[in-house]
Amino acid sequence: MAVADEAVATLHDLLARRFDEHSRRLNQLSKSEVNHFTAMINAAFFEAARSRFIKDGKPASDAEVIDYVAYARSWDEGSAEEIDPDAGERLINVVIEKLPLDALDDLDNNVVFNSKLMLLASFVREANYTEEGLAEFIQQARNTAEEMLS
Amino acid sequence: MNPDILEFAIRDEHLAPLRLFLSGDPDGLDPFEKEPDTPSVQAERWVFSMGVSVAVKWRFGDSFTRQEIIRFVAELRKSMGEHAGDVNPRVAEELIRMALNDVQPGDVDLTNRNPELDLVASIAILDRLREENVVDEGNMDEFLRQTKQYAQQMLETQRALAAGEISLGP
Repeated sequence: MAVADEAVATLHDLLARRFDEHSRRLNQLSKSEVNHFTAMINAAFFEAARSRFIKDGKPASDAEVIDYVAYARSWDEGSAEEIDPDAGERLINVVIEKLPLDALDDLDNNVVFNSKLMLLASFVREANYTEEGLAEFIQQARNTAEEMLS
Repeated sequence: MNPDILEFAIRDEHLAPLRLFLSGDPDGLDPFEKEPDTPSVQAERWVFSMGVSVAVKWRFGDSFTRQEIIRFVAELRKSMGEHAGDVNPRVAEELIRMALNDVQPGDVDLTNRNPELDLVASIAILDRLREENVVDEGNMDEFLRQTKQYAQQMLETQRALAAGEISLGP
C-alpha cells in the first residue's frame, strides 16, 4: 500500500528539525494519513535501529543497547524524561530480534510511542545526515512502511 | 510505611546486616529473607535503606547531574550481565534522585511504588557503591555512624508526619 506523501513529508520535517512546518503538517493530516505517519515512524525506527545495532548480521550486545539508550537519554532533560529506559531497550531488542514482539505487551502505548520517537530522533542526530542522506533514509523508511502496510 | 516501624529506636545491633553486606557477605541480606513481622527485622530493613541513601549522597555529593545518574545506573546494569533486566533503570534512577532530594512534586510517584522493584534496585545500587569503594573498611565506621544518625532522623520525620505535626509539600 502506498504511503501518503503528506505523512512522509511530516516525518521528514520532524527529522530535519523543521518543527514549525512539522506541526503545521501534523495538524492537517487526515485520520488515514495519521496512520501512515505512525507507520513511517515505525519503519524509520526499524531501519535506523537495525542499521545501528546489527553489524555483519550479528545483533549488538545487551551492554551496547543499555549504553546507547543511556546516551540518548543524557542528551537533554526532555530526552531523559521522554525515553523510558526499559521501553527503549526493549524496543531496540525487539527490532534486532533479541526479544519477541510480545515483549512490549505490558508497556503503556504512550510510553512506547514517545520512547520510539525520541530514540529515532537520536539515531538521526547521531547519523548527522546531509539533506540528501536524510532524504535517502526517509525513502528507505517509506519503502519499509509500504511493505508493512501491504 | 508500616506504622510499627515508628515504635522503636535504632540500635547499633540493627547496623549489623548493613555492615555484613558492605563487607561482601550475602548474609547482610538476611533481613529481606525473613518476614518483616518483628520490630528488629523492620529496623534492620529501615537502616539498610537509609544506608543506601547515605552511600548515594557520598557517591554523588551536591554537584551531580542527571546525566551522571543515568550513566551510573547504565554501568551498574551492564555490570550485572544477563541479570541486567532485574533492575528497572527508571526505578533505580528515581531512588538515587530521591536520596539526593532531586525530585520535584509530580516527578516521581511516591505513593504507588513497587516495593519489590525498589528493593532489588536498592540492593544493586549499594552493591555497586561497595564495588566502587564508596564505602570500604577504611570509612565503614564513619559510614555506619552517619547512617544510624540519618536513620534516626528520618524515623523522627516519619513519626512527625504520622502525627500530623508536619506535612509534605504545599
